[in-house]
Amino acid sequence: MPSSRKNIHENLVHARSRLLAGELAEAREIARRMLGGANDVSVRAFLDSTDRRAVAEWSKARAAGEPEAMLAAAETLLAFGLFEDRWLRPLAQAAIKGEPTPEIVEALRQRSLETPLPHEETIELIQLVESAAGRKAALLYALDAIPMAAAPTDIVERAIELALALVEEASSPAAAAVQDGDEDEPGVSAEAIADAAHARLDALADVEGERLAAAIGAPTEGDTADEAETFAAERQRAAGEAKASDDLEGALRRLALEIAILRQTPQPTPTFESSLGAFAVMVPEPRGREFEGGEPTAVPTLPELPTPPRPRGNRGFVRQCMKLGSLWALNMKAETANEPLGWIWWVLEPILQIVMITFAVILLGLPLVNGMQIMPFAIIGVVTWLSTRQAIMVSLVQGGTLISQMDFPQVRAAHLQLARALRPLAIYLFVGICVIAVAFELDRSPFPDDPLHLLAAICSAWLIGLGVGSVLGSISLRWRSVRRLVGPLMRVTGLSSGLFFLPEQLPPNVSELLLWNPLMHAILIGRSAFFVQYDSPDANWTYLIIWLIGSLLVGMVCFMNDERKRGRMRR
Amino acid sequence: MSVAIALRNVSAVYRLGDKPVTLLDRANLELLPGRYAVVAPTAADQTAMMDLFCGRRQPIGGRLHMNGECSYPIGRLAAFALPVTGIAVVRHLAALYDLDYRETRDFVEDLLMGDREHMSKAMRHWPVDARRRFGMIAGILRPCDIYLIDGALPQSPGDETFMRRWTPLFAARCENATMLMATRQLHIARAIAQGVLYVANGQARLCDLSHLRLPEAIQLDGGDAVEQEPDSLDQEFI
Repeated sequence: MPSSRKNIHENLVHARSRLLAGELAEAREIARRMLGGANDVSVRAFLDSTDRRAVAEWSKARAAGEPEAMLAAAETLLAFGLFEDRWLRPLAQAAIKGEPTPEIVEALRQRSLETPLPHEETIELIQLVESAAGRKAALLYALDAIPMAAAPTDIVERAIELALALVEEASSPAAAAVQDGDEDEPGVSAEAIADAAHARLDALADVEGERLAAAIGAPTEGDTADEAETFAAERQRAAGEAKASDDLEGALRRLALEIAILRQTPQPTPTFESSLGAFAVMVPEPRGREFEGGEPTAVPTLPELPTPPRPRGNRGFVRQCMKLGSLWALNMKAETANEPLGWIWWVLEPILQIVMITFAVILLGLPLVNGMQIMPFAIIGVVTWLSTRQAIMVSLVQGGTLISQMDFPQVRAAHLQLARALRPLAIYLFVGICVIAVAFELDRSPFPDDPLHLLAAICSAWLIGLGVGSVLGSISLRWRSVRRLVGPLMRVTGLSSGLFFLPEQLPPNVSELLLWNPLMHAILIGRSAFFVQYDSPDANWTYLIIWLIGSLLVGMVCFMNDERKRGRMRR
Repeated sequence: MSVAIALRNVSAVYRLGDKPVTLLDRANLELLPGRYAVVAPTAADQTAMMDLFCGRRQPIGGRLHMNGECSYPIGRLAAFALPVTGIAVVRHLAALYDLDYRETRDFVEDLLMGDREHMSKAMRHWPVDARRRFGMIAGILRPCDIYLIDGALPQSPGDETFMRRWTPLFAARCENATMLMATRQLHIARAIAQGVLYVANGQARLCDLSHLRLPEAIQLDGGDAVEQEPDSLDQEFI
């Protein structure tokens, strides 16, 4: 076709529009026609670009793992003649997952006979060929694929299924007569046809087996090469006969030959390495293996893998508690280094802290404060303050020794923070109870009036500490110097929280100022709950709860924000 | 087939010293169940990516959806360098994985064989190889839908006995599970992985095994991650 420069340009524009519309094959055809008439550089460039585009489409579809896009891209590559054998396996996988066109199936069928696919994909491909081109084509493909398969047993079994189905199909009029209920008519049932087909295939395989045995002769050592040659020759003969007859009988004879070959070939016993599949590479070569001549080693005896219990009802809460408890225990063991001295210090340190502060109060020389005995008066204040202070310090530095536990997907930063903050609460409560019990025995303390109320006050203060600690921790991520301020700030808060005094003992304007401190309210509520004779006029549960909810909410927001924005734990 | 891992507009950063490094910038990807090698320009990127999968690091934007339970990153040792005994750690693992303690301990001791003598000692003082083997056992204690391997698997001849017993159990756990490996043992990754999850320039892509290489060997521009896409057609024809 003679083409002027103008024609080339018009064709080019048309081809590009087709290209942009995604109709690559048409665009390419136009460009080819143009190439026949003119040797324009830009047309070559156009073709190169279509080639690259087709390959890129395929790469993109593969990267995205979209079977349909891969099939569409592969169709273009096949049409352009650009499809490479190394892409055969991904294409087969895409075809198995997606809905391939008959052209794709045919291409896969042809190419897989030159570049064999793994065994599982060959089986799937037989299925695809059956749906695209019919049962007989699938049988023929299976027969062609058997000689190339490393483990042909499954493919032979699939071929037998197909062959039997074809035989049944061929005999269907007779079977249909029986199924229609025409009892008077002499007919054959489907089962009888299947049995007959089985028997026939068996007989044919026996015949082929005898022929093979005669061809090979008496087996001797080193006959493997001869055997393979005989099999190849027999396969060629059977294929030639089947091609000449072009009927089901020919295919059946080929299948019978494959069955006979399979019977003739000793099946390899699976070794330990082969049972592992791809994972076998993980097992290193044993010491001195090279002197053992690579003999397969014995299969080791394996313990049974632990199985988690079946989920019963809502175990979520129980699991979370178990997880927290376990992390708490692990943290304690890690902090005491699981050694006797570590454990002794673990108990001794809070006792010393409590005793020292209590004695500081006792040294003031007051046996009673507003009718309250000095020892429990001080202990309540000290336990509340110390557990709150420790909760703040722990929340300020989240991970601690347990930071590495974050590698477990079951463990979140919140678990670590809670588990670590639980430690001071538990230990100070334990030590506080012990000291008060001793004081009670020595007649230095009454029995607590309302222990639950007292516990609620201490826990509220501890939760406030958790929330405030999270907020301070979040601030310290931005301004590290804040951490240096926390220590002095805690001391001032402690001293102003009524450890050694009551607001009633202070001037009204000072006590009014100190009552802004929520810790003061928690301590006053605790003392009111402990002593029958004391009921604080200033303690306010509402104020404490507002602080509790507010600090926990703000702390939680800061905590979640840190986890996401910073993408790391505070150390 | 359902998606095993989905990244939807995921952005993630990590810090190298005081310097923030962008790992993902609005990355989108869907991973079907399979076995993948995680490849990134630097080892720090690889580790950060595994941190994202195991939940240690949270994305700063978007959503990372893991379809099913994820394992502990097999090969990491830090979680087992505690000053507590092996028995205490087994008790902790049993509680964490919701397993029977006795059954778990028997299983661990059975696989540890010669190393079981260390069980009553603080794990911090265990030989590194014994700790590594313990970590590998911890990775298969609970059945998971996604398995992570981060670090080197024992490959010296002395590890053969352990690996011959551990590998079939791991293979059994991995059946029908997704596996992500960020290992420098390329021969293992090449044999096991079916694809490469390539992370570079803030994006995550799926590539074939030809892109499997050590982190340091990868070009920082990530130019050869996928076959080169064509330039725009307009540029070609101007």
